[in-house]
Amino acid sequence: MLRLLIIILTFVFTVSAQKKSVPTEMVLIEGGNYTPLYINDTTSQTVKVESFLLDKYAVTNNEFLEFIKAVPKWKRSAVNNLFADENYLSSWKSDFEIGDNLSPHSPVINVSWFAAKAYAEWKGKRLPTVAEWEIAAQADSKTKEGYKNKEFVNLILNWYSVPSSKKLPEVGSTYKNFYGLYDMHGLIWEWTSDFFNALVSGESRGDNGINRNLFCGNGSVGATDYTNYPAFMRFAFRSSLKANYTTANLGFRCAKDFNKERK
Amino acid sequence: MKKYISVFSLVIILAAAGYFVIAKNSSENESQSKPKKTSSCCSSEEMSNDTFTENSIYQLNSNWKNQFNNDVSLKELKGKINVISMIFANCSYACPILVNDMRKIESALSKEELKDVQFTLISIDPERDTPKRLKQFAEDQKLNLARWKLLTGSRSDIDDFAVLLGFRYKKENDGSFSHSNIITLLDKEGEIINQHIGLNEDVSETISIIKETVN
Repeated sequence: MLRLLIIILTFVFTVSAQKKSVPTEMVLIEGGNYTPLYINDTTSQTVKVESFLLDKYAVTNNEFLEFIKAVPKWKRSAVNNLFADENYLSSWKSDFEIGDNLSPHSPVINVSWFAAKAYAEWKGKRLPTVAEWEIAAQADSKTKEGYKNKEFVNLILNWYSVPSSKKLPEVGSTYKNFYGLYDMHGLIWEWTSDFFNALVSGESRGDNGINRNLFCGNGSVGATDYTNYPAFMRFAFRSSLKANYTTANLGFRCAKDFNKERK
Repeated sequence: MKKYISVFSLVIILAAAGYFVIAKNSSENESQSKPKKTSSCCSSEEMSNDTFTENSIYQLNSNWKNQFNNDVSLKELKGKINVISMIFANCSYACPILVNDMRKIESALSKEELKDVQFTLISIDPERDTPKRLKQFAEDQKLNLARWKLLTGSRSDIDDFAVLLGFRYKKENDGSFSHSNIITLLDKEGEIINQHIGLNEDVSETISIIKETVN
């Protein structure tokens, strides 16, 4: 009897403690093993990912505007080319105005990696790693393993092949996945903290040349999942990025360590 | 039965107390995670005042420790040509070769030319590359510490630096890193003037660029 009580109380206690530590705008993604698209002979095949928190929605124009008001060195006219190229926030009306052509609740785009990183730090968060993002994005509406669902994969491919609409829809307008994350596919591409780890092949000489070959005929050498075309496309996209690039359709959402949160 | 009741109430009290402690902690966490005023990257004052040229990498507002455990800020590196690579000390193959390539550059320069040149190695492995470990690495590699700096910093600062050099790296499960092999030349202001890609290849172009820039 007593034991049962203790068990029940411990359970209630743990659940409420966990609830407390996940902010309402984020969800908990349980850790696991992520298999990168390319593996080389010298390394083991999977990346262990710890449990982490991820924003339900991508950062919106409105939210980014708040950041710029608080940290004005990130306003459009003040940012140096090294940290964001000339298209930085180019769709906004001015430094502190989003303008009528955009919804304040659409994802902010035309932001560089540096700007996204600075926003995340200002929020006390960080950008997700590639492995974290991919684990979270694998889920379809019903399961963690949406990449096994052909329909889901085709849906993503369709989105990749359609030019984006002029006016970007608002966050939450596509689908909600298993974890409660919105728009992981179908709205924008998203920055990751370590996008620059794509296309590093171990101990290669002059790895620029070799890596470029990865996307031509040699693309499938070392690939771990031949059917996961969307992942190939993201991989290719990431490897073409530089940290000051600010393209249309490229935004971000923030992540946070989970374990630190619990302490 | 009485005993049970008192044990039971004790459990309830403990649980309630525990709950409040947790709740309090997490609300403290929330307040800590509220927006901070500034970010660590690319600060501000330095960015807006004209002590830096537009493409100077030194405008990153980052904090480093050198092999003597002294604080180093990037603006201290202004004024000399900088020959830079990113490495990790436990690297068994590529990094020693990269450092050797840099030493080849060093030995091809005259004493007069070397007065205007510095050599910098930035660690991509801050967990293991303590200042002490970097000093050991410098000694193993017989580096002249009057000219060579070995720096370590936070992961975030290292990433900022790496992306500006176009340096790609990835931590492997065994604790080692896959990484680009690039030697970058920065001018006296900290702007990139040349990048040499690859290992153990002819560095004569890099050498002649340094000589031209110095003289």
